[in-house]
Amino acid sequence: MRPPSPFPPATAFQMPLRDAMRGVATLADLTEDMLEPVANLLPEPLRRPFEGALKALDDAGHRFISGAIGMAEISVASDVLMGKEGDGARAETCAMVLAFAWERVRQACDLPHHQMVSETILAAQLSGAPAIAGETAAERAANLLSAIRTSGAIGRAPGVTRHHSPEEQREIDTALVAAMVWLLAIRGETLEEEERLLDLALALSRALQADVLTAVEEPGQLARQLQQLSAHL
Amino acid sequence: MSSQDLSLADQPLHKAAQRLRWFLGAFEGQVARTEEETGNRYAVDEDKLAAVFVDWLKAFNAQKPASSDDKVAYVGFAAGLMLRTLVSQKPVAVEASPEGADQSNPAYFWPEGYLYVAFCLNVRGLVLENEFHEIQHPGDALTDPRTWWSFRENVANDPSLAIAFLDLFAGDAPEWEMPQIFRTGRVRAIAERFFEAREIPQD
Repeated sequence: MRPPSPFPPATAFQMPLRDAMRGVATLADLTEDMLEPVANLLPEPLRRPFEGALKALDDAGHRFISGAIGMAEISVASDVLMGKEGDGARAETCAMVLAFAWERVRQACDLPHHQMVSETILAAQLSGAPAIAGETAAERAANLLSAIRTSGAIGRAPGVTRHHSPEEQREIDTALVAAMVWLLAIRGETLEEEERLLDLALALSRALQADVLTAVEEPGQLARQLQQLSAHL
Repeated sequence: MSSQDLSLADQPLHKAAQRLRWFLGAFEGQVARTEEETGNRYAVDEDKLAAVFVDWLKAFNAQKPASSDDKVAYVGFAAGLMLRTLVSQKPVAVEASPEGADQSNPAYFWPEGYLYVAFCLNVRGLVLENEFHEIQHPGDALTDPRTWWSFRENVANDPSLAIAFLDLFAGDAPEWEMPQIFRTGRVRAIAERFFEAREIPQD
């Protein structure tokens, strides 16, 4: 029997709150970067509390937005992509897992902090895309990925700005493909193994980046790529 | 070059071996066993290893034969493709070898090459045994220092020769001319007839 998740289920309140905390964590990171030269000019008695306050804010934000993922949530997210029966709560759980994946691959890709993801927008995209009869899991994942990349769910101000430089767009597309490949693949047995599989999905997507980026504009071609990559993960 | 514990998956081995997670797990297992057997210590670049897998997969799919009669031969060829990719991309570096190690022993003459050959031969042998009930009988070349000297020098110039050398190490007849091209049974038969017809009469 699977042990219960130590974390409460995602609720309508928690999801926007996590989005807000992502903004706080990002702001703290950026503020720390910007104020680093100034902090060095402060007298010692003021400098340490100042740095401590920034770090506490940063830690609180990161702690809140990560760590809420367990095997049960990953399994639900995978089921949502497979087109199994779902409701709003399952779409929200899938959005939470995709946000977790985004944060991990963002760090691995060295994408800047300001490339944030909005779980709320992700969940809206997932809820607004009911399963189509006869649609394969890879086709569903490809359609969802296309919807997510044009929804503004990822960016400096998710939901507000949608512009990315070509280089940023390439990294974002590669990261999204990695997340979908991960969720489409055969599941691991532990959370540690799942995290490793996500890292490997990113390694695969990067190794085939040219093919991935060619496919990403066309859902049919993208579905074939997702199918092949997940089969080889 | 023991082959224990390479069969990690609950699906057919030749299918499991086409998954990155299996490949990395099996390779890590081989590194651990070779370190234990030889006393060498290796550093593995996992990003390079993932790139090795992808390149191998592309090469593997590019020449996959349609006929089931060619499946056994393709196992050996696919293992050779893997060796070619490993010696080209060099995902492993030896960090230390035992002091005073015998340099005529392949494991110390070329520690990285030894590890790559051990991995490819073990996977090859396992797939042949588990799925085709064929036993691999490595040849004497596997322990011959002169062969290893030639192997190292030749694959540095032409990595595709690794495919032929792996056949030699495995005890099979190597294809030295264009070893990177897989010849199906039908093509081999035509080629044999062609060369027989061109034989120059002696009188």
